[in-house]
Amino acid sequence: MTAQRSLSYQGHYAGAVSRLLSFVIDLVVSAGAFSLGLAAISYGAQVITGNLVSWNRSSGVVIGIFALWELVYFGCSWGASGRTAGMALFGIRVVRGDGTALEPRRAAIRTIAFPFSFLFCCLGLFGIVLGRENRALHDVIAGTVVIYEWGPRARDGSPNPPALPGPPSTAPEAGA
Amino acid sequence: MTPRDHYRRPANPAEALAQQLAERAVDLVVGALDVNELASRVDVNAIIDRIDVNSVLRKLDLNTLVGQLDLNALVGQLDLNALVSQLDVNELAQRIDVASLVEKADLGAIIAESSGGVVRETVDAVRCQTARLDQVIDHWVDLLLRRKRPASPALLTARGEP
Repeated sequence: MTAQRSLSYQGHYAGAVSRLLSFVIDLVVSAGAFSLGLAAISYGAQVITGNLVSWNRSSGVVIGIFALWELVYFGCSWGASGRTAGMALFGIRVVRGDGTALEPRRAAIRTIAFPFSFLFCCLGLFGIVLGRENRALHDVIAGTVVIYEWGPRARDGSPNPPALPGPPSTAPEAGA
Repeated sequence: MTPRDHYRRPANPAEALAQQLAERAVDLVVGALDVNELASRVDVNAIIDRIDVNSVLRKLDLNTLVGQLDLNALVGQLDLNALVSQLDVNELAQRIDVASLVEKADLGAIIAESSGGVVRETVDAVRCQTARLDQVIDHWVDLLLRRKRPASPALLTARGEP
């Protein structure tokens, strides 16, 4: 039952909830990794110098490094596989507008454009909710879309299911 | 008809007498022979040693022999119920080294596989629920904007293609 419903979603544009939840997961994962990195650097410096090294998290340098780390995290993830850890968890993937795999150059453009979507009260993200193809500003700039991609066929490495002739068959009931 | 009847009967009376004498002598000798004693003196092992079994086997066409066997008829003649009833299942079960079997079975892998399946199912269910929520939001947005979402086909991800 779940498998059949899973197949009906494959290849369709991912919506706001999946993308928001995956972004939250990514923030937690990347922030956790960043904290671990800072702790490791502090420990290493303490071992080498013998002095206690601590980080002021509100300093501009640390915030700048964190922002850079976020770009690296998202950029490398999109460039390598088209998905971050959070996106993998929720079964969504970044692909080109025609559905083909994302190449590193386009992933880099998407990563650079990503912060601009958060400017002016996240105005660039409105397209995820309001747009027909659920594209944010950085999707439009990079020519990408985010689709659902998981399920039995995607998991075993075999080709994806054939194109479905319309929206997912499990459309919500009227008035839902 | 005995084998001796195959011999041509001599026409000469002297030859017939000689023939009868010879037959009588043979009967006496055979009657006097102790066959058991004779067999006990035969060195069967020496005879078997002189037989070239490999040569005999090479000449045998085992495929033809086996092909001529009617295995169904053989199996049909077996009384499997009688065979099974003679089996002492309890004794057989006692002989099984369960501890060794458990050691050989990779229980860790079995447990990991089964628990992995449960996790996979759970994650799939969560994905389906979030996708459904996406659809609900899209549906409401379409209603608010009074637009009809075109029936767009699913995009295919051509992995590995440029």
